[in-house]
Amino acid sequence: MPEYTQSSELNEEGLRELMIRYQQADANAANQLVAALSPALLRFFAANPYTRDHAEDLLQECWMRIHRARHTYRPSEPLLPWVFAIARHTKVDALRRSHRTNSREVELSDFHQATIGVEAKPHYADYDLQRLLAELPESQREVIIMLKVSGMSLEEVARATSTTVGAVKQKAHRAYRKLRRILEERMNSQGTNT
Amino acid sequence: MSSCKEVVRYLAEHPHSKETSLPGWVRDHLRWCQPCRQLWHLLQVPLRSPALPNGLSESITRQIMANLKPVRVIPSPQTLALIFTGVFLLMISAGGLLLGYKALASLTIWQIVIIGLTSIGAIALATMLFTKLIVPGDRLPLNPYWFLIMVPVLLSVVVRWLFPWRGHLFATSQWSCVLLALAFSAPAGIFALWILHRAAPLSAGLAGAIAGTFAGMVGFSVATLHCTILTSCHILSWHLIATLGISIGLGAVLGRTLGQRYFSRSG
Repeated sequence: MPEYTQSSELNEEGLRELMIRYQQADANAANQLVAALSPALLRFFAANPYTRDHAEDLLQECWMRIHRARHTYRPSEPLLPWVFAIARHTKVDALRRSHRTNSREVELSDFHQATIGVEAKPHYADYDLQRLLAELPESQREVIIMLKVSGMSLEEVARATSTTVGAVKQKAHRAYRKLRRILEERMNSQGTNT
Repeated sequence: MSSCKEVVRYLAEHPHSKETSLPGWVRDHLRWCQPCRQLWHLLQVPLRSPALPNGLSESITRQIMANLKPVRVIPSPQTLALIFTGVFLLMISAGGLLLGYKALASLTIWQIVIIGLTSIGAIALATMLFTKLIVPGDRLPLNPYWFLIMVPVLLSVVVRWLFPWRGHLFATSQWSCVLLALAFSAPAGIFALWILHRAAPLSAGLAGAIAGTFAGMVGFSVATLHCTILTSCHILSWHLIATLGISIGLGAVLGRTLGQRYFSRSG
């Protein structure tokens, strides 16, 4: 039986086996699945500037949704798209709630809008990938996170985001183009400064 | 010589490629183009998942353990497709037994074949989409929104092409046809919504609308085989638009209500 720790690579076959045992109420499998998937899910929630502060709450909420809907995982299908589709739904719900709250608060106070504006625009202190990812639109960022953090294939990302492989490639292409443009601008500005 | 655009496109289409697996033209480009090389190096940086805060994993596991029971896995798409085919055939047979398909004698072979194939195609696609939409992360064979638009449009074109218009028959026995169609749609729709309620669709309203399309197509088929007013004006207005419109609308509303129990915040 595969044993998972937090630092393990996400191995689709092993995870699928754990999920099947979890559906049969195997407590040990549930434990291992939580340990194996939670770091990648936490990164997924923390990648968004609006959900970063609540990433741990969202992780818990996501696991409760996974638990309630565990009978809808079909063992013949890949597990990661199923898990990340639920995670994405959890995040979208949180973003909607957050936007509703923010729009109400803006009406009450103008200075709060300024605070949100500062949070949403991170500074570029270095070439750190996470900071650069924060510059991307949400739909492009989540594609890159799924591809990079959990090592999902284009096909699996397409399933998790309910789109086609072509649309995922398009989003990844746009994201890479934007990242390249930012890097080029920074190189140019560094050249000008020196 | 390759352009930056081509290289960026290649990297996007091969997100897990290693340096050794890059084709020669990409490697050559990366050698002399600094921004592309920077991007390549950036994409090689491992984006590690953070360690979980102390106690978080235990807290999640504890909540799961509080309600850990064996579950019955939802049937496969193939099994569901067979069940839906059975429901469709059952309703069509029930319509034939209870009403008698009077229109069959007046329909030409081409009308039967073309309308039959279009309806069966729409029902098969609705079933396929529905079985995929009710679970998270499944591959969709086509865009469900396009499907919801294309079914009424395609059937309208087919009906208008196969039957004479005769607008003066617009208001003839309209409600009896709609009610009859809906009476046969209802059991099919209730069955589809019951499946939806047991499943966990991420877009419950959309899955409900597709269930409504399935149910509406059952009603359309029964009404068209039974009703002897074979004019496109009547069939389009009452068998198709009214029946399908009501089924899809009701399906969307009920689907949204019934399909969200697993993903609502309260659970």
